[in-house]
Amino acid sequence: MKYSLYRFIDVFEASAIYLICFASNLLFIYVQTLTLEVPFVLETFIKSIIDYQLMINILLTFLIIVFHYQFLNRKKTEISCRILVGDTMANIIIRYVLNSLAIVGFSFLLSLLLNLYLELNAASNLYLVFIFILYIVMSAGQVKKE
Amino acid sequence: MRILRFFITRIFLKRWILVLGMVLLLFLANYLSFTAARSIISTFQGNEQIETLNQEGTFIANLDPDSKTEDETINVEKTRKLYAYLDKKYTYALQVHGFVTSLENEHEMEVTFSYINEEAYKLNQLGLSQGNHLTFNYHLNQDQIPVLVGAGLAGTYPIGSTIEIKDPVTQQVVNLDVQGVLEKNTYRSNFYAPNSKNYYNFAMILPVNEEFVQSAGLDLHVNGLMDIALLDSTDEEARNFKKQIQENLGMEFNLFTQQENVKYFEDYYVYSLKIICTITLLLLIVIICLATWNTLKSIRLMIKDFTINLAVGLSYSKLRAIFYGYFGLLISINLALLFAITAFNRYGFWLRKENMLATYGIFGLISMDWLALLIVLFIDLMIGFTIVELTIKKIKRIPISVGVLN
Repeated sequence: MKYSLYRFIDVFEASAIYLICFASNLLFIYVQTLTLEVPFVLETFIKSIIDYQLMINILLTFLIIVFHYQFLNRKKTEISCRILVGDTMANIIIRYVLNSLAIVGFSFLLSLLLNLYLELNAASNLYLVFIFILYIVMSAGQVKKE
Repeated sequence: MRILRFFITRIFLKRWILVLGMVLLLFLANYLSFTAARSIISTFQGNEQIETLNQEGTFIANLDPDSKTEDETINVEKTRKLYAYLDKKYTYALQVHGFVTSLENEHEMEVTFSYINEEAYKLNQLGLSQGNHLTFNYHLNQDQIPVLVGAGLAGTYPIGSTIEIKDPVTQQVVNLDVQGVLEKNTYRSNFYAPNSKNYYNFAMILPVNEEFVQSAGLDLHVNGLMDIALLDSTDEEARNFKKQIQENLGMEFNLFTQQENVKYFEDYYVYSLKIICTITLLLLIVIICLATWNTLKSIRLMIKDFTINLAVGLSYSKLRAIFYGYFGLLISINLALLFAITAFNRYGFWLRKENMLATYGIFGLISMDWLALLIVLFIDLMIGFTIVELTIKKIKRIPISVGVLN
């Protein structure tokens, strides 16, 4: 992460949000695999949430858009300073994309531990990874200087 | 008001992604609390209705889950004999719901017939919006049968109308005389799932007496046994009845006493409601944390705008009022969204012609929905208060000079 725009707290925040999204998706899948006999009241309550699981997961991924948006807005001055001292915009964007992908990859690997614990298919979270990659590529266009 | 509009349009909406993030998080919190609140209200409403049966000397029958039913051994002769025995020895409440008929009506809904005997009718105390209560002393093949109609049928079958129809349980052509109209959204809760309700808006309530029961078919007899309640009975009488069912039909029934029913509710449903509350609370805490994070990030980006306004004379109390106004707007948008989704769901039952779920209400919402919305509003106010106070605290910690230079 040399020359990265990310500081430790940013990596921590991004990883936490990715993990929340992955965990939410896995918990939904896990609850559906349970064959426990639960009381009807509980069953209908859980069903009324699970019915909208895709929508809830997609809504939660919006937090990543929020993260990238505020992150890149905060870093505008830093980007300007980097360019002043000889860095190029292209290099900054490449580093930003690679670093962001590394954080997604790291969070995905961490979420695999939960996959293993809950004995779920390792590919369950892959669709979220694709969504996040899409967000990163889209946000790369927002890397701008002050 | 002008300053609030200025802040919303020039400061908050300038970074609309953050505002949208907040709206989505608040919506998740609202949907979750709304679902939980409705489950709890519905369960208590159901329990309230079932409680009318929780009296000393009442035993509610229920088919044992392990009972082996051999359909070939059950015939109408045997069930008639069992009901004759019941009529002779016991006072019992019988209510069977859900016999579908194709009775024409202005809403083109299927109409369900619900059969009720005098004891069950007295216990249920159905409310009428018009007309008189049922009488049970008619003769099946000679007299017209007095019936009550649901609110949705009152237009097509007003009081005094007569209906000639082949009765689905006796398979005889009967003449029904509309005696009264049930109050809108009269419902019956399931004994073993109090949060599940069948609405009587497109139902007809038919009184059954001994003669009717003896003329009815196997469907009414067997379904009636599943929820039958023996009244003013003793343990011994309940045991004898259980034995009779087993000897006649080969089916194993459980007869629950009042204490067992109360215990069942406490063990089974109160436990479920506690789990629902815990899940909701935990998820709400996560959502509130995310919403707070979203707000603090917004403050960091907007601090320059806030501090410039503070530098030119805006007071912290005014800023607090602006934040409350802003959150009030977000909460209103979310409540309106929740209201629209609920109204659309309720309207969906009408579109799909689901006669047992179609309800009447102000803007399509029934009392349970309004109460749940009120609870959601209360939760929203708590969330709004927490976030606004945290935000103001955060802004106060940043010196105006630092903020302006940001």
